[in-house]
Amino acid sequence: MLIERCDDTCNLELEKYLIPQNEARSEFTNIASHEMKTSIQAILTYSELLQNKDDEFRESYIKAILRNALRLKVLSNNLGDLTKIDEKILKLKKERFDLNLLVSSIAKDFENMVMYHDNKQEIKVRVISPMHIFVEADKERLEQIIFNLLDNAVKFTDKGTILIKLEESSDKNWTEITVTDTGPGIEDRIIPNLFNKFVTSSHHGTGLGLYICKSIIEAHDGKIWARNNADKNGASITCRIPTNQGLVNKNYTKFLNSESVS
Amino acid sequence: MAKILVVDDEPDITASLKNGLQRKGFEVDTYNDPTDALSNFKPDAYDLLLIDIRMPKMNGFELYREIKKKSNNVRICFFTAFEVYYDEFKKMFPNLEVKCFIRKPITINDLVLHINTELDK
Repeated sequence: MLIERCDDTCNLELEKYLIPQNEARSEFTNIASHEMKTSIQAILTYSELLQNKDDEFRESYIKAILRNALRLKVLSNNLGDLTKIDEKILKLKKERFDLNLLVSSIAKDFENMVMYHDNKQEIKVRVISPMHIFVEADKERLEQIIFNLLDNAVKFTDKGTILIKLEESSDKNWTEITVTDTGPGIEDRIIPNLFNKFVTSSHHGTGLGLYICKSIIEAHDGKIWARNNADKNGASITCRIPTNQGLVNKNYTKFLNSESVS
Repeated sequence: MAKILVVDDEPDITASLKNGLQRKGFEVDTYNDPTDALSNFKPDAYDLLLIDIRMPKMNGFELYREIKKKSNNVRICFFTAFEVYYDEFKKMFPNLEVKCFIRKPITINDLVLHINTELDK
């Protein structure tokens, strides 16, 4: 059998091969390929199982196929974005829209999706925002970021509330989006590199999501940062973008809860 | 009926393989956490172990090494989506046939062929 020969030195020898020795990109290619094959394996096996018409769990197989197909979709989108960012051809389509409206709708969709696909029934997504909060930004890209931050949060949360807080500075010069989870928090050693390419603290994922978020926010002349919550209960990631124009609705209501999502 | 232990950190993989292999007549136990697989491992309980390599807490090689301490005559197939291990191990053990590496993705029928080949040895 294969490993018998290395019984005494096994630990050292294995370490040598298990710790990635190559450059980050080569390691990343490996991880992306691993991510891809894992999802394909699940889709393949569940599709084979679906062929058995008598199987009582067919409904759950369809869910699993969808879930893994979506994982592949995210991976392929991320790879496309990585190319655009690296070649500096990421373009923004800015428009003026109500961030609260967008975020509330994403929150609701996300909550439903998590319940349906991941069977996490006890995850709630709650939005705290002024009634209207207008920004000039690339709507699709902001949607992508918020979705990504929620997806990150849910990876580390089995139950509890994920909070999205939208805030404007008093001079209306900038807007902040903060996503807070109640998971185990981020290891201190990872925080300084969290938004770098290929950095991940999850065993599932390629370490592209937060790098793409950072690139998009920076393209908006904004900033993104992460911190562990003061009560040692989870982590928060904040994006700050310039609001650009002072076109904010006068009927500003401070921290009105968007109950539509809870 | 041959009994197989599947250890993989992806619940979608273990759940689907369990069902697929059961339909092919195998008895199957699964674990998503390799440390659970180790602490519950009973010598001689399984005809074959099917173990993922890249897992949190303990990778597949470490699990195999620990299991070997409990039982010396286990049969194993590593079931992996990671190319590096496959290639590096071929470099490490050039004279050994790497028959017990099964690469994802694979159909149930092909997986069963691999399993039966191992069981016939």
